[in-house]
Amino acid sequence: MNDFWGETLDQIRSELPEQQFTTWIKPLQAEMGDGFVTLSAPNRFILQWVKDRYLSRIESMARLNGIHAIKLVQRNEAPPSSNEKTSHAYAEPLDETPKQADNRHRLNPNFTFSTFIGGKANQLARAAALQVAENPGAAYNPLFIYGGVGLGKTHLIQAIGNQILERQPNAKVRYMHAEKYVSDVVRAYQHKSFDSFKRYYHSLDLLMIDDIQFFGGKARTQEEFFFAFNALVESHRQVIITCDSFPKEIAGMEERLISRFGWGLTVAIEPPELEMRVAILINKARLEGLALDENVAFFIAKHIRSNVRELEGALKRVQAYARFTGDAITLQSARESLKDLLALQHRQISIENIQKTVADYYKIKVGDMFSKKRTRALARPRQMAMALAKDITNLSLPDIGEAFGGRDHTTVLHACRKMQELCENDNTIQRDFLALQQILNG
Amino acid sequence: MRQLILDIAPGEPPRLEDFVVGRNAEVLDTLQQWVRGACPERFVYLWGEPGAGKSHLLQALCPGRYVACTPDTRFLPDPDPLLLVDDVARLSPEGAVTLFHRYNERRDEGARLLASGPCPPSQLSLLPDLATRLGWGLVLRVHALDDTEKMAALQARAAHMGVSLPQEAARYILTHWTRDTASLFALMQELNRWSLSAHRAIITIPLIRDALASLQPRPSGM
Repeated sequence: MNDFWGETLDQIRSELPEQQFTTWIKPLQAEMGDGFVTLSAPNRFILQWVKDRYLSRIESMARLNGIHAIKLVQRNEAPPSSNEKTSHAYAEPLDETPKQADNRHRLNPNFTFSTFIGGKANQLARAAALQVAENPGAAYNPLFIYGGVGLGKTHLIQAIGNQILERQPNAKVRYMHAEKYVSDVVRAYQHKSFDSFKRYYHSLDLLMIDDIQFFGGKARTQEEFFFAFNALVESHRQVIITCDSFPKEIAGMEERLISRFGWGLTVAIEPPELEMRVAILINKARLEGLALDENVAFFIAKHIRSNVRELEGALKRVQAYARFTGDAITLQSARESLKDLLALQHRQISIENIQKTVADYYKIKVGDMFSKKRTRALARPRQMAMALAKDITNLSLPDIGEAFGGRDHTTVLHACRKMQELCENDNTIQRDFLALQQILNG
Repeated sequence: MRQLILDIAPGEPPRLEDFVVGRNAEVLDTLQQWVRGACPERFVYLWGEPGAGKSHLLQALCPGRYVACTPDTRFLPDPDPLLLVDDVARLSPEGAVTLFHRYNERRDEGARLLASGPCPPSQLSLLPDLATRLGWGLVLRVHALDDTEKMAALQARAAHMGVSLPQEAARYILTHWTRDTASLFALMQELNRWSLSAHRAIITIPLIRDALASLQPRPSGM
């Protein structure tokens, strides 16, 4: 039986991206029954995910091994040593920690899982965050979430903190922006108070550092964080990190930290797709007691594409205009209130603009977008620009082909499929695509 | 084309009642509420072309809390509930990081921030963490005045100074002088001085012509 599961794991590992394998398959534990195998998942999220996506594959492999049934259950696991977690001798907080005991963690109480809108763009990150909230220090340590600005990284990690505090009000949780950590290091240096600095940071149950790219080039900060990280992770206390880029691409970060960031799970948050943007708007409006018409939400979401902050800003603009005029929010009033922004955007995103932006990004000549040369160094950016043109403009494929040196529409179609395939399998291409999309959409 | 500017003394501090509203009624209304703490949105960002009146509005709203950005500007921790930051596009990367932290503190502490720039936040070449946060609040465009509104503005400014500026004289200024509002108002102040020394209560076209001829224009940047 163990052979069956070992072989199945090897097989699935070869079929799935490493990250997905580590997230969903690796945590499963197999147990032999009479003609069946019981797979236990550490929590209901993994259970549901495996059931929806991988169970049929596992079953087909089981049948080949003469196993007739797979039972998928949730493991009955005691929460990871909660006694141990709360029994740490808490160090006295540093002078600069907040005065009010109830805000020592610096969490925004509104940032919870229930107010976080999920979608394709963040489903992996959200699922991982939920697991960490359920099993802090055990599920994935550290949890490293990366993605562009304004996509909800801060909300997600604070949701973890809030959920842990809800269950364990005494847990020593601390959220901080990376720059705050840097200034704490500076202060400790100035006041020669590294002992109390260490005592405080090494005593936390959950440390969340937002935007760790701000540590870049700051050697002393990185050194202190290295010690804090080791102390926490080695004693199974949770570290959560967000960043604007993949760990290996953080400028000025020590190799030993970068490798440690990969010890747990690294997940990306991508810009939200249309349906998710609509859901974000309707939910945001509802939180403010406003019933937002779906057509209005759709209109805003269709035009504001780059990040969640800008989306919420657009909703505020629409609300403010309605307040000023004293009228209800309609499609017409939304259009009127956003017309300046939209006019600018439409001017910006022409196919020429896409070609120039992509050429600049890859440091090639704009003329190479139209040339017949087919070397990969030129063909990839060209395919990227075609895929972006299809994604962003309303031009037909023949029109796009025409704009790229009179190419056939099937070339454009091929480019779009190729980019989709590459985005699914190649982190660098995917990041380039999202970055360009964000640049073009403003 | 070389832009000509006047070598004249700066005028009085801007006042809200001197702001020529034009198409900016909503902006003005929002800002008046914001400064009183009555606006539901604590973070407001104004954008518009140079000369649209952003600096005027910010200075007039709360002169004591007004910061005009330069590449050397840094923002230190600041407990005051109000902060007005003009032209964030001029900040250096280091300056932008300091404003980013003040933004986060203000967000946590219930304080307010009014910022301005030449374009919407999404198009600022600025620390993206800061730019997206500026776009998270209420973003309003300040519309520059059109020619009719500029003539009305000049006449209102003249009346405030105690002189009269007939319609045809206002039109003459618009067709013979740099038309951004800052240059127009600076000229208006100079014309006021001329009218005082000439003991005239009306600014006529000949007076404007004399004034313009006597001014020594020089290329900008010198």
